[in-house]
Amino acid sequence: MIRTALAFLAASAIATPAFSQAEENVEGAPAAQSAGLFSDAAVDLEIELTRSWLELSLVDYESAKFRNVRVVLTPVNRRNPREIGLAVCGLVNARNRMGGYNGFKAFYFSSRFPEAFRGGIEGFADTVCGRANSLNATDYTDRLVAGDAVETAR
Amino acid sequence: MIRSCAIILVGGLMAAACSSVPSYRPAPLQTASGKLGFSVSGIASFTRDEAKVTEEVRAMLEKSCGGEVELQSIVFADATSRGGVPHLAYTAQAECKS
Repeated sequence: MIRTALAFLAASAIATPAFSQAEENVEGAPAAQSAGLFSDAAVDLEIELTRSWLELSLVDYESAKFRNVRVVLTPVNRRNPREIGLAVCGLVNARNRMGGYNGFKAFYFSSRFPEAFRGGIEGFADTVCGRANSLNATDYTDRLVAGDAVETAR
Repeated sequence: MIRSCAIILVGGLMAAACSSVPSYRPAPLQTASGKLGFSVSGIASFTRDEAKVTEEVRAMLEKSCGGEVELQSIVFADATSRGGVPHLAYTAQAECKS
């Protein structure tokens, strides 16, 4: 719970500059820590926010199994395709209230989306992730696994 | 009057259905050089003219980029129907120059 609160606090302070870093780079100015459109810090933050959202959304986060977790680029403004943000896409299989697994389901999360559509399991996941291009070839599955996986992955 | 409207409506729908202009939205990507780019894939209907489709795809990508693009790749695959109606599947990727 403290981790979740801290993550959202950090989000409010850093999430907005995530795109401005991208814009700076598009305009030619170098972004901090990375030669790409988004800095490593922005990617890490999006992963942490996704983890926090999943902790709140899943009945039993500790039991969750993940597959094919990737960070993708997504348009965040229909009127301006150049305005892009990060989204985390993957598959999750977690215990339900009855204690059984339901099978892997697609999920997405992006802190740049309006609050009501920020994350989802199935639903819009195919729309957000279906044709989206990955930011890089990294598999972020280990970063979402419960326990100390986040610390050990770094 | 009603007949004229109906003819115009049906004509418009037929013209829209036969249009070869691809209607898919480009997806943003990060190019190998770390710049913003877009990719798009879809099917151009009722045509097998690769040059024409290339120009249409380029225009679509330029609209997304808001300026000139460097077309990095465009791959075509014949998607002609069993009845012989010509269609062309494509996948393209471009880097925004500005």
